[in-house]
Amino acid sequence: MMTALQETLGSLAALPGVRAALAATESDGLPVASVTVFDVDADALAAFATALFQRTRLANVSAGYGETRHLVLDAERGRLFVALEGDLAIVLLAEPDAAAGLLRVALQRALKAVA
Amino acid sequence: MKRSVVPWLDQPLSDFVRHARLGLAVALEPSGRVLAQHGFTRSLDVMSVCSLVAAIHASASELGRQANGAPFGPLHHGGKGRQLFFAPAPVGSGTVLVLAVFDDRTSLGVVRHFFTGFAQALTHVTDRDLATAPMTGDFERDLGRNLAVLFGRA
Repeated sequence: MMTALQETLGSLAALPGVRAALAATESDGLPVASVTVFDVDADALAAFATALFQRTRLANVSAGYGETRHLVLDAERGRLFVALEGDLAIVLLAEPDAAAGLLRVALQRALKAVA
Repeated sequence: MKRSVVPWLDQPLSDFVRHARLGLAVALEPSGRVLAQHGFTRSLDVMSVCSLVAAIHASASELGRQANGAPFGPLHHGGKGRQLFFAPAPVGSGTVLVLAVFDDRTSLGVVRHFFTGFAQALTHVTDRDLATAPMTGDFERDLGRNLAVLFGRA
């Protein structure tokens, strides 16, 4: 399981513009496995990406929009992608000019692969 | 109501509580003497928590020494609705123990992250600063005095 997860994260991290790919538990916000460039704090990324996803999920449920499938956050210097399967969240941190469509598709495939 | 009996704990603990969205927090010496608290309304509760935390720390440290060759670090207990995070932070040549209670408004990952910041903020505290919370040698008296300060009776 861990090897498959690590391989999946490795293939996500190899996509153009990706700076970090990690899996984390949504309930605890702790990283399970990660592939990151040296200056990315995987613990902090896991904690805040899952917290953000959790809040978004609650907001969507409160608004009557149903379950949240994935979350994309565009910031000045980067893009964040989070998707969830069960309690496992997969998080991608990418450069601002990374191909968002490609990364979303890759993220959904990765989720199916580790589910 | 004061939150801390030592000025160097005020801001770091306040930041930790606010950023990590903690419900309750208490900082104490390994002896069980309270130094700061957030969220408690009764001094008796703080006194009980401090006694328990000091005992847990002593047990976990000794277990760690025997099983691992060194005291265990942070401890987490996930309850049904609330969770506990308990960790020591080095201060000067001593240690401050922190117990944080949180619910699903935050997560263990977030609490751990901001605890690192809290511990980092205490790295500049010197042994001279520690002397701002002098002990008289009488534990009961020290504990009573600190609880009185924290709950506005001093």
